[in-house]
Amino acid sequence: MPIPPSLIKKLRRIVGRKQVETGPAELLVYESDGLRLHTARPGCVVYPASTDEVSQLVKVCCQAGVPFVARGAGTGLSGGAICDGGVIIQLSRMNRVLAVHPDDRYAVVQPGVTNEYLNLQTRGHGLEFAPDPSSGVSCTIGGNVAEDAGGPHTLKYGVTHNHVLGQTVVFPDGETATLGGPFPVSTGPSFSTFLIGTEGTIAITTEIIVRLVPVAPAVVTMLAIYSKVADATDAVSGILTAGVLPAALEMIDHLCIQAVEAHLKAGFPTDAAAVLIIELDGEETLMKREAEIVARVCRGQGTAAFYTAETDEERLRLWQGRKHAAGALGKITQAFYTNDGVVPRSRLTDIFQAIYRIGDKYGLRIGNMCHAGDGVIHPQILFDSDDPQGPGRAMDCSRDILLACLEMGGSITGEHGVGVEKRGYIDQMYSAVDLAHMIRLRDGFNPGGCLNPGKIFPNNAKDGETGSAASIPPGAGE
Amino acid sequence: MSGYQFFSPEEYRLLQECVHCGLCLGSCPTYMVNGREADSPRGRLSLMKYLDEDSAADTGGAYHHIDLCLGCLACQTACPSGVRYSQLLEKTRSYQRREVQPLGWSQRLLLRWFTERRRLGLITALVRLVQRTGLDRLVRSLRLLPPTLRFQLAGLPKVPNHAFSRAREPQLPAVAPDDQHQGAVALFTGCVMDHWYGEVHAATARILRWNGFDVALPEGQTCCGALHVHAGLEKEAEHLLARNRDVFMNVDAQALVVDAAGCGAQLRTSLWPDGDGLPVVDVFEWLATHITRPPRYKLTEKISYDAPCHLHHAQSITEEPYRLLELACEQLTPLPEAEMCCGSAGLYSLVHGNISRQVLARKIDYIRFVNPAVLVTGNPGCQLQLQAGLREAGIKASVRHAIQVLDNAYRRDEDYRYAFELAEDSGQL
Repeated sequence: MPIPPSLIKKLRRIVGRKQVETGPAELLVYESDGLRLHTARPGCVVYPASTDEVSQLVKVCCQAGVPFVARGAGTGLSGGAICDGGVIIQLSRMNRVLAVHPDDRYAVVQPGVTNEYLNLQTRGHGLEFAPDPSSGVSCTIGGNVAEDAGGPHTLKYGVTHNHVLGQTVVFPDGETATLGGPFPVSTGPSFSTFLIGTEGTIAITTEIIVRLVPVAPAVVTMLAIYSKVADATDAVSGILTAGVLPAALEMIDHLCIQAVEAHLKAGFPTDAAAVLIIELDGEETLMKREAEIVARVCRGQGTAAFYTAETDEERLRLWQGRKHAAGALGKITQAFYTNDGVVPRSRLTDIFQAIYRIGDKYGLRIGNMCHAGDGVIHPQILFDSDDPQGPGRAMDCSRDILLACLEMGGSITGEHGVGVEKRGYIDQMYSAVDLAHMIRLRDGFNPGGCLNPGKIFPNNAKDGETGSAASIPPGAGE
Repeated sequence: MSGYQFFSPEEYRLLQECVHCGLCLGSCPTYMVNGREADSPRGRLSLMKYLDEDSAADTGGAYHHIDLCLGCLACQTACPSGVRYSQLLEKTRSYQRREVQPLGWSQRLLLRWFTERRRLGLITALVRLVQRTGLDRLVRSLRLLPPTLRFQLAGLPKVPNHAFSRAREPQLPAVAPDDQHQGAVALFTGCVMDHWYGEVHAATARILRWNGFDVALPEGQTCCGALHVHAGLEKEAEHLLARNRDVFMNVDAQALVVDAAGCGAQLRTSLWPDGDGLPVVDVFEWLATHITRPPRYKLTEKISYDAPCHLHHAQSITEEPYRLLELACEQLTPLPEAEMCCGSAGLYSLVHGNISRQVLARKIDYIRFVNPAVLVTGNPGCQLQLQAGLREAGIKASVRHAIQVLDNAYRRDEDYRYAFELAEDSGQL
């Protein structure tokens, strides 16, 4: 259903003619976010510059009954930023850091600010925003809030909701509210925190007050190399049960190492079955003691080799290899599908056995990188995009992995959100009663169902056909 | 699956290496200023694929976003999969100019006049006249010219009396003790550099000679053709390359040293298609490994380096300029986002003045924040753009090529001044 010309006219009146795009080339590029398996073309894209403009935009969209979605940088991996035939409210122009208060350790930012840019503005004060999703060079704080983003360093520092103090939001009826504030207050429920992770289905965040934490005075990054994946995963439990809480504890397996070393060259040995990246930060003498414990555990767990990065450059190279590993897969495959399951840490060894078994069953190669310390896994399922059955098989394979996670007491998503991608599995995690309550809560704020329909929950009662389901390739496990 | 319109099957496979992760977005100057996915590297790759598959379906919208690309190649540095964006961009633009939209007459004219020796000589004489008579200020204040041209005029250096290559012998001998002679190198003089930035070539030649190299200035060399390639004029670029190939084919030297980043990037990839000719090296790269007599004294001014894209991203020469500048400067202060484009990008600043200035504004903000006495770069286009931007913003910092800074540090040394007959007070930046 095309967007009525009268609505386009209204949108243009609000943001200016040039800030509304309707051309085929301009819309084509908004067909997907970082997950290419789910595509849907929007009817138009608007670029507001202020909270007030967002408020006016949502009001006219709701009046016209046209669906709309807020979008940051489109680096998400669950199809959360697509909107079939509707209006994409692209927040990339709202990209200013409005204030930094080093003494009170908070900053006020617009949603289109990237993690990297925010940290560039705060590091001069010796402070940073702790959540560090791997796409931090491009992804936006608004997106972090919508997905409750994590990243390697959330093992020690916590995810986005631990670092957001307040926000200004626009509800679908155009009402604007400021929730929370720069200082912790405990009067009534924390409404701001409740909104974090609702994937933009209840309100659009237009200003965020983020907590800043001191940059660690010292950092040690270590690399442990293993010839068996099980040894690496056992070492993860070993480190954590030995009483050390690393800033980050990551694992990358053989196939992903191949991809990284094909172009990025982080210095991972290409014959390793898996490597662990262990980072400690904090006060120097304590860290030294912890580093000894880590080294002892890793060696005891049959590590083939164990290095400590000597220079900052080396350290950054290791992190670039880890953080950009998914992006590097283009060197070894035409297409892949990123899974985002979670298992209790104690089941890491089991889930990796299951992952490789499931891969063999479907005849698909699977590379792994994961936030091992948190039990968040990101199997990368490689497939042939020229094969019409390829995407479907990859999705089935991913479903089997998620079901295995659930069986082990885990979750279907760690940090990428449910989006359209996993809405078919959410009823495996929650009872019908749980789901009904969640949907009621959402519909209370989003009664017309125009804001971001078709996300998180299956068979949206208010919006029976939101389009996205039709674009899921055959064989997808719904 | 293979390409349809202009990509070969291999190139189509290169295109597929983009996995849509979006890690390039934060590095793209045009995306940073307008926030549009179609003006991001990821978006442009999607559009290239779309154009390649069904060019007829496009009504001009897609090519507009290809046009808006600065070609800075920061995305290539950012891309974890190593997508060869420049190759795909050039192929798309070349098809566009050949089959869809020929290059506009004004750009064609500029390319013809600026890159052809004799015509550039005429323009230079005219600019010189205007500058010497003070007419340029009048021209700027009368607002007769379009604003982008007026802006660019403000960034022009004081044009010297002679082109560098005209004023010199074709061969300049080393100025170093006999046992420190290191052989010969050839210097690429180019077009605009030769006429307007001869002082940079002179500094390069001096430093090479001081470090034991004979410097050959082979006659007959011409424009490198980089601007033509960026504009999609493949054939014209090839013509210029062929002329240069003839000149450098029989030059007896260890390397062809280039001191303009844009020319270096073009010559490095295209001068010798089989890769077996005189090695093309950037001056920083060469000096970083061949400097035997570093400056005895350092400059005390606060100096910041802004990396030219075609050095940093296209040639991956990232550390060497800092290493050399550290030999010459006491106070080398880092500039945030130093590796992001200044918006010059060859003719881009004239053709897409508006967005070019927005890209520049971000840079100027950082320069104002750091407040260096001298801003250093390594490419004539960047030098002009940054100088114009600083003048407009009322910032006092001067803009110099990094080689000039190095040369100025050397000039504090009496022996160096004596050897090259330089005046004592010539070391002012």
